[in-house]
Amino acid sequence: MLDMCVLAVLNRGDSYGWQVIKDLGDVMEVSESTLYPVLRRLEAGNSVRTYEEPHNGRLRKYFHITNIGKQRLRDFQSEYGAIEKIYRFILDSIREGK
Amino acid sequence: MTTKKEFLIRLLDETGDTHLVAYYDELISDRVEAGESESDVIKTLDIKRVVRNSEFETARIDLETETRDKRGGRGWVVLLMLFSAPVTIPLAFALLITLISLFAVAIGMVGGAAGGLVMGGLGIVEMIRISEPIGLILLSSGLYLIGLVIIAVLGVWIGRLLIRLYGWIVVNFFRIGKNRRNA
Repeated sequence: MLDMCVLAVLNRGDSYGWQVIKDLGDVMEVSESTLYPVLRRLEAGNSVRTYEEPHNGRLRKYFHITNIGKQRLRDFQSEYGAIEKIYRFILDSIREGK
Repeated sequence: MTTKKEFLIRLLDETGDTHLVAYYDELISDRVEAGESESDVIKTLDIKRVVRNSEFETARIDLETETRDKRGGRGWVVLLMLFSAPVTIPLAFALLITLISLFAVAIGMVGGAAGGLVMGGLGIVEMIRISEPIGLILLSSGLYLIGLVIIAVLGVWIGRLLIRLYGWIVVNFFRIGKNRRNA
């Protein structure tokens, strides 16, 4: 799920570590130590690629979503119906339980 | 109070991961740029957790890469098998036919030797007991068969010898030539 959230952020445009954390802040709390493994995992799986650009006398690493990453988002979208069904099942069980 | 430099050095010492160090270097700088003080940022970073997460994820990525490589390897083998099928299937068929032929020759040699012995024996018995010319014909036929088997056995033996000779020539002459070129 976290992978999908990061991909969703990058699907809006290229971004860097701190900005991704801030953008995700609206939907979930993500720490730096949590984000790093996610970014590495996405990079290793070719879902994102990186490039560097100068910023205030230093290099900043940007993340760019690849076609594989976009395909993963589309796959998630197609699975959403099944996920929603599971959530509804659990919520119904909570509502009906004593 | 730990400074950014001290934090990064400790991180490098504990993980050896330069990507991780670069990530935190950038992240701390970004947060300081956004208005936080360096010491406040460092205070929020739990180095033990950072190291633990990094080690876990590195191990996971290594495992995934290894699995993917293995799958990829199998894929290449399947592709190779598919593309080489027009050549390998006839070759395998030819090998099978050759093995069957060799087996047939071996059975023929054993049968020929047995037949020769039987005919020779019958020829001797025929010569002594009934008719000399028929016995001679049978004996000569038996000897002829035994002779054929001996020639076939010699042929196989000479063939093996020639193959060994060929191997010896390849090993001694071609390798020497190769070593000289390399030297």
